[in-house]
Amino acid sequence: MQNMTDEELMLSYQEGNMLAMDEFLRRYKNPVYHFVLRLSWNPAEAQDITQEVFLRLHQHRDEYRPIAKFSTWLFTIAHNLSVSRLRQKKWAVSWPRSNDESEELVEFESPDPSPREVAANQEVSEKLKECIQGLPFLQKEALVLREYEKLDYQEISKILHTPLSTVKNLIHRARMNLKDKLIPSLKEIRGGTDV
Amino acid sequence: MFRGHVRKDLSAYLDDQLSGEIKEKVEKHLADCASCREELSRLKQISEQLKAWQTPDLGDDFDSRVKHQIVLGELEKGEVKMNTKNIPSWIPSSALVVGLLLVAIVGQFYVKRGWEGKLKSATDGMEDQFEPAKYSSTLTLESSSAGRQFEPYYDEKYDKVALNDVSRKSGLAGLESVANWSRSEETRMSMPATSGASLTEQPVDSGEGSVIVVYPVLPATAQGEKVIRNAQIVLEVADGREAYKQASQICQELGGYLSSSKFYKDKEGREAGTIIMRIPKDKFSTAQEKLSTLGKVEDITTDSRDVTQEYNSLKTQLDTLKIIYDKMLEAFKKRQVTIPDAIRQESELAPIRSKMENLSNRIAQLDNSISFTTITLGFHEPKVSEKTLSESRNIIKEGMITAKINFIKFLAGAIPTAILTAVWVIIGLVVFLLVKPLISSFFKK
Repeated sequence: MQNMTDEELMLSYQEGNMLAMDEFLRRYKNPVYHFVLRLSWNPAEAQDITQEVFLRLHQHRDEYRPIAKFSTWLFTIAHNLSVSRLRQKKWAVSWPRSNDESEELVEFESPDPSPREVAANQEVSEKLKECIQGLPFLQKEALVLREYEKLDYQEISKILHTPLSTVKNLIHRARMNLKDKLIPSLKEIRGGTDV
Repeated sequence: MFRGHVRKDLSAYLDDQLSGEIKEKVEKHLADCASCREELSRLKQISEQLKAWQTPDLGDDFDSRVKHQIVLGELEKGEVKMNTKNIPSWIPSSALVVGLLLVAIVGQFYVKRGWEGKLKSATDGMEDQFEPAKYSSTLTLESSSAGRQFEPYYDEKYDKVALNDVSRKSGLAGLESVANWSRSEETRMSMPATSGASLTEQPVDSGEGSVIVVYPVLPATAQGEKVIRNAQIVLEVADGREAYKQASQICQELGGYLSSSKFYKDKEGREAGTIIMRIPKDKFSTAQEKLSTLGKVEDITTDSRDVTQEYNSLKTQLDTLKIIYDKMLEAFKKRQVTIPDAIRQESELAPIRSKMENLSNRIAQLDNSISFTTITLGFHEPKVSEKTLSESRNIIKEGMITAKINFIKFLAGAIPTAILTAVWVIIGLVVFLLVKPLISSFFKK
């Protein structure tokens, strides 16, 4: 089963192979969770939505057609649920403070960092989160799908139900926004050195 | 377009999302434009910076939570239909359960053979009084079943727990051994007191060799008797309200409670009522005696229903289901749960759980009916009651007194008027007598 493609696995699931769900969970639970978590930055809510994504996968399994990539279909569900939740609750704009529990959730790769670097990374992470959170929702979503899930623009366009050119603009504008906000801050944090 | 900068395409270029022609043009522009190269470099830095942001993975329990939700959803829709037979993963636990049952039955069988003479005479005496097929636990085992593996399962359709021979995969009859508990509400029987379970043996021709049918008959002894008692008492009482009050008091004193009560006056004004009270079984006779003293007994009826066999049968079913349920649960817990497993677990365990609840409720209901007897007390005042007569006498007496008082009042009011009238009459006469001579002399002149 591990050698099967997502699409093959989905067809097998449609035929009643319930074990396929184990494989789907193994492959996609974390990508979906990371995606939603980066949008909402609310671990409980992100878990809740991720769970709902897999329940929808199960409930609507017969609606899937192999003409679409499975990952696109799955992230479309995640997107729809996230947008719906966003409309319902208005996700928090402010980021958790450093003494919050959620702070532990953010980690930066840094082999053997010095105490100064650790402190700087901490600050960078804060700034990064702040900047990403400040992005318009669609820009943020497009950027996250591209940067973290490595989806191509075509897939992102299907997930977000927007034209390809719009996706291109969304990602570009997101990066430009981040550049404008993040780079000066990072320079400041790292003592004027280039980031 | 490419005479100016290509900044709008730089992100797509960085992500390698440009088509061949545009990509080529961007590359050409970048080769000549330092500003755009710098912009691209910054975008790369941003991208690199973002890649460093890691988020935690989900916990280990996430999978099981999702599966649990899926299973619940499926069960709610009622779409789960699982084949209960030949599930290899059940074999270890079910084999253990069946092994235990076999040991118990074979053990009892040998014990029975040792006591054959004594038991034979005892069972001979019972045959006339007891129909074994009606309310007994029947366990049928094929005599050549040694070396086979069985699994227990709950057959919802036939409301029974059955053992499935999983060592015979196909081609043969599915069920080799059946432990079947059937229920009959009509069972009424009296049995002599015995000291332990007795066994009857009945050969059955199954077409596949000798089959021994063992009936473990549970004893219905005086010590463990389960009898539901009821009584109906009808009383004629002098005072309905007082009788109601006293009956309630008796019920309370004996540690019982009023199940329901009704108090009313009929068209003729007589007070009557009905009280249904639940009295502890050991106070049943006392309650009847005390209630009978409240008035003249018109009717008293008692009846009892022996539910010992029903009770024991229910208990046996429940105990067996508990063992099977626990074993199944234990077996499930040891295994890594997949979606099909989880669905199967729920679909297999749910009917057993439901059956266990039903049995427990029925047993609790019987327990309550046995430990508390039901006495229905009806009471009414007589047709012409002393109380009514007394009330009538009082009304007449009061009427007469009132009439006398009114007469005196009349007299008291009339005397001054009469005196005043007499005074005026006298005055009139005096005046007449004085005036009369004057009038006569006037007419003479």
